[in-house]
Amino acid sequence: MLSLIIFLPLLGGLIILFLPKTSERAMKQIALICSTASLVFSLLAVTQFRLGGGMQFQERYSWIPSIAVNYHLGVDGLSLPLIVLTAVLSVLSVIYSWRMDVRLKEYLFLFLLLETGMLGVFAALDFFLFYIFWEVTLVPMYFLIGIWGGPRREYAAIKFFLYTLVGSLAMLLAILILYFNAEPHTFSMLELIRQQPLADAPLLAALAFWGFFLSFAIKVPMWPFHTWLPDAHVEAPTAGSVILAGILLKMGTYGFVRVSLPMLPGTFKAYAFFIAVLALLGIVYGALVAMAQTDLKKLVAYSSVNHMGYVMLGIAAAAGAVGDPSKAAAAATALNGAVFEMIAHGIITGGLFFIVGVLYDYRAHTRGVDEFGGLGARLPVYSGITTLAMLASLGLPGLMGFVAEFLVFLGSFGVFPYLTAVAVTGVVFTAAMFLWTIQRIFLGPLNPRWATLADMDAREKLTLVPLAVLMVIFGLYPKPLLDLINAAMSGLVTALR
Amino acid sequence: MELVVFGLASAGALAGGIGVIASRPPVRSALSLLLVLGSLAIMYLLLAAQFIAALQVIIYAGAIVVLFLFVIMLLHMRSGEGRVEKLRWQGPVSYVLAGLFLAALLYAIWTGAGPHMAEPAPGFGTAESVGRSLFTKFLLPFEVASIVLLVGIIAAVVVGRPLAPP
Amino acid sequence: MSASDLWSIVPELWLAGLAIFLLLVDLLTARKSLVGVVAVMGLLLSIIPIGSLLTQGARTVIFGSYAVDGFAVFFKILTVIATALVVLAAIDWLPGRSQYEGEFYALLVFTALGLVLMAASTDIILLALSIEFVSLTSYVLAGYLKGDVKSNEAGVKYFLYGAAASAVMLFGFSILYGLTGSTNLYEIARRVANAPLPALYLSIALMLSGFGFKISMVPFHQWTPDVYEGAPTPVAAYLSVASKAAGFAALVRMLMVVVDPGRLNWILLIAVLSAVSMTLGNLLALPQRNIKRMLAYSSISHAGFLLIGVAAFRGDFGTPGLLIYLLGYMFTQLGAFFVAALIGQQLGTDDIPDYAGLSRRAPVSALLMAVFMLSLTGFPPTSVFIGKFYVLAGAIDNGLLWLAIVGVVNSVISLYYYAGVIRAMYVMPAASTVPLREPAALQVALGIAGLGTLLIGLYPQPIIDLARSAVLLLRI
Repeated sequence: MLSLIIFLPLLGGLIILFLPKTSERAMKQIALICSTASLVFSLLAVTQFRLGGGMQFQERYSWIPSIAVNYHLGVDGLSLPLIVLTAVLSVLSVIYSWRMDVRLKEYLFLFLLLETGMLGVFAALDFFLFYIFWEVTLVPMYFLIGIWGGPRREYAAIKFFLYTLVGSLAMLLAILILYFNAEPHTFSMLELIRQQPLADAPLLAALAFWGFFLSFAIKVPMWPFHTWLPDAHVEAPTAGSVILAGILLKMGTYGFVRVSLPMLPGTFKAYAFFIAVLALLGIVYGALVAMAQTDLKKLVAYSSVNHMGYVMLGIAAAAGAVGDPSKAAAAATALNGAVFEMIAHGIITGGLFFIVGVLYDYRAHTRGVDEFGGLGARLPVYSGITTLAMLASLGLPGLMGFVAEFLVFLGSFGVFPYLTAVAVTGVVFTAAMFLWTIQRIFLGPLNPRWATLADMDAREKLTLVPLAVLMVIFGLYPKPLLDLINAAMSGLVTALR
Repeated sequence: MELVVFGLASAGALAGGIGVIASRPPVRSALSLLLVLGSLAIMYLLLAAQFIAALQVIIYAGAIVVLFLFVIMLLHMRSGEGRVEKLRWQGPVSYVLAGLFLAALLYAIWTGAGPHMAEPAPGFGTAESVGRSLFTKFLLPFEVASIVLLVGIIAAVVVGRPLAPP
Repeated sequence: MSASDLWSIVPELWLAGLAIFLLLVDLLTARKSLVGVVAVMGLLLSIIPIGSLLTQGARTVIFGSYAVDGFAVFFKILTVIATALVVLAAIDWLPGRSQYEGEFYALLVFTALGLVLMAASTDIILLALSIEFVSLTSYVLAGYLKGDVKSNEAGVKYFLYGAAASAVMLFGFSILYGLTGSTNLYEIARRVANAPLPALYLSIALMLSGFGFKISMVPFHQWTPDVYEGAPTPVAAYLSVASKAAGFAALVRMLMVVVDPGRLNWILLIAVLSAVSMTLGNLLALPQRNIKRMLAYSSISHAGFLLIGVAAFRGDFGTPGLLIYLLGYMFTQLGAFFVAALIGQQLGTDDIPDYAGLSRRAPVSALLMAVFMLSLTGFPPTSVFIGKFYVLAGAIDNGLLWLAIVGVVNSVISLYYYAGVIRAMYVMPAASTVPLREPAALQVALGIAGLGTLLIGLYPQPIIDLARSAVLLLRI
């Protein structure tokens, strides 16, 4: 089942690779069919998922026996929502890219390869496999930015490539340190969590921890490793930005929850405060810099830095509570909030990047916030959805972002009260930023330049309406998703207590 | 006595070596080479390798240097061409490195000479023992050498034949 | 010595016979590509006797001068595959450039014989002789394009450097002989225990210059870019892969059999050389515009990576990692050179900016080149990734974490120039949209190289098994 979910997109990509260049329609259809099939199977997995059942749908085959590498997949309440999110955003991106006409074949192939890589990262339970999928996501993203990106695409692409490669190789060293200290040597993540091989070797544990940290923190990206993000986001094509913000960033936070927290809890606890401070800096810095942006895409990009700061704050809080039973409840809340924020940010910011694309790619060809004005009357549907997404992003109660941020603050307040108090102020900045942006774009007198702009067409509605619906549904009734996440997180917190 | 002969032979070899690279007319270089080879033959004798010494004289001094001389004669090599010195800092550096190497070598000899050195086998160096080891212990190198010579001939043909007009 | 000893060197006899047979075929036919085809067939057939050695135990034959062990067999396989691929590539590349096509293939097969001998010698006389053998043919092959000034320069330069390096190495051998009174490696290993250390150090240092030259290790690397640039592209490919591999084989056999690292700490020496080679090679590769020079500098850096495997020889990762790396690198590097050969032949240029728009003009070659570049960087799932993974694991297993970190940093640096090639092919606009002709034999060679790169990356288990058995059998 999981293999099917992961490799269906790649299969489609390979078929597309062998199609003649002229059959563009067939290529798009295959891409849509394969990514939709992947989504359907992932939803099927959700319906069959048993709450509290731990790792499920496991598949395990021996792959390289002489170094104990297995092809081992499985999902729990942490990875399943992320897999569904990946599948959803991928399908929507394919729909959005329907009008793509530049080098379509390569575009679709790379896109589907990217989807396979991302799904694999979330499902892999063997470090070797995890690492391979992790690296597989880098290459297509490089091409997506480098070929279909904006004017400074080459710079942005290589910067993204180099930054993230630094991280992944640091992770490789950390993985190897874990491997050689486990007895018997193993790459199995579950086995490594059980063994805690570095519990008695603080120096090596610190080395491994910082190796993982570098990798995940660059991916998240945490302040001060965030500098690749604005470049990459601004230059990437719309669908690339969506995937980058919606899913690739989650690989970093996913790594913290899946790897750093359970495998090196003691070390993580020792540095938790420091990391929380970095997260806080990201929150404040992201919000403030976003406020100063006039480029809509950059604005959303920096708001990502801000939101990922919330996620990291929640995770750091959970790490800070390791070994302290009195704070276990707070830790569980913070983790639930962090994971919920991952999903929420994926949906909301993914949506926001689509929104920017709708305006930029086919209509205004500019992203200057100040150049618009009064679009609200001209583009009612577009304005409605944009306002909804921005309000969700700033954390308006009743929408998805609120639930996530509320849980994060609630949980981390029990661990790092002062930091959390400062972090809450970030919400104010974010709110100010988005409200101001809405005002500048949609309110006021209509700029005559945009008098002929058309509202969203059916295809664009098809990409954005589902996301808007999800924002509302999970904002009003987050219980099913929270139950799913909580099943995994409470287990994790119990193990760490 | 041995030391004196060794001293003379090595002085000859060194002087010849310098002569090969320092003298301008090719003929003088070739003759200096003869001096080197001859001095080496004496050293082989000192090392009780009489067979090799004889070979050295017959093949190198007798055949190869003569061949060189023929080639030089046939080519009428122009001599006395001024050369342009292209190496700037490499010259001095090479002296320093060579000095260091000499020091290392002397140190190694000083600490290592004496009882550590392996004793040669009885009958070492005679024509019989050389022949015996060539056809037993060193059979494979011997045969490989023959292939190397064959390849050398092919290579020489490829390198040496002039380009045909296209 | 007995008749069974002869059976053990059937692969070598076969190669020697094949080379001479090729000369005869060349004499009898006017279609020179036929000679190449016969060479490929003959090389492939040699896999049969080589494979039959796999099942036999490790031993030395012919008065202990020649090893028949897994290690030697591994390098026989590697050499034969590399030679066959290079001959295939040359069939399309060479015509019109040289009058001596038939001899070219024969010389390549002779070189293969020399390399095979190099990897299996257990006697320093034979080792020196086979190194000279390989050098001799390599000089000629590097300068094979007689009308081409750059090729001439490559040949002469390679000869001058090579002769000097060989002389120094022989001096090292002679010291070793003086200390032990034997030329047999295993005999030397027994007797060397009482040898004085300074002389032993000196001898190892001198020998390293010879091996270092063959594997283009810093500081014996200076010849590499000029020779690769000037030599015929298939020859450059061959030198960077097969010659390097055999150099490593000789180095590993010498160090592991003869010198006990407890007595003479060569591990640190090799580790430092490895770090320097990786870093210097990479930094010098960064500004290169010529693809062959870039690959040359990157091959210096890969030599550094491979040396990690030599330094981290303890445990299950270092030495097998070296072998896996060599095999994986062989496919990838050959592939990259073949693409360079194709472009050089079709466009008459070796400059990376001229690769602009290749993804449109020669999509298959461009895709393969992208795979090769990513493989050289060390992206999974490719063959060089498995090799890098193994040597890095070996370094950590041997407590050389610092070396692993140097390696990782260098991998990142190398991405920059490898990505430069990808950028040219995929991102930069094409100067022309005329599709390039992709000749058949070269295409086959490229396909095999690509397949090898990906297959080893996806399912490395058989290669790992082979490499492990090769290492187990190394110490007789």
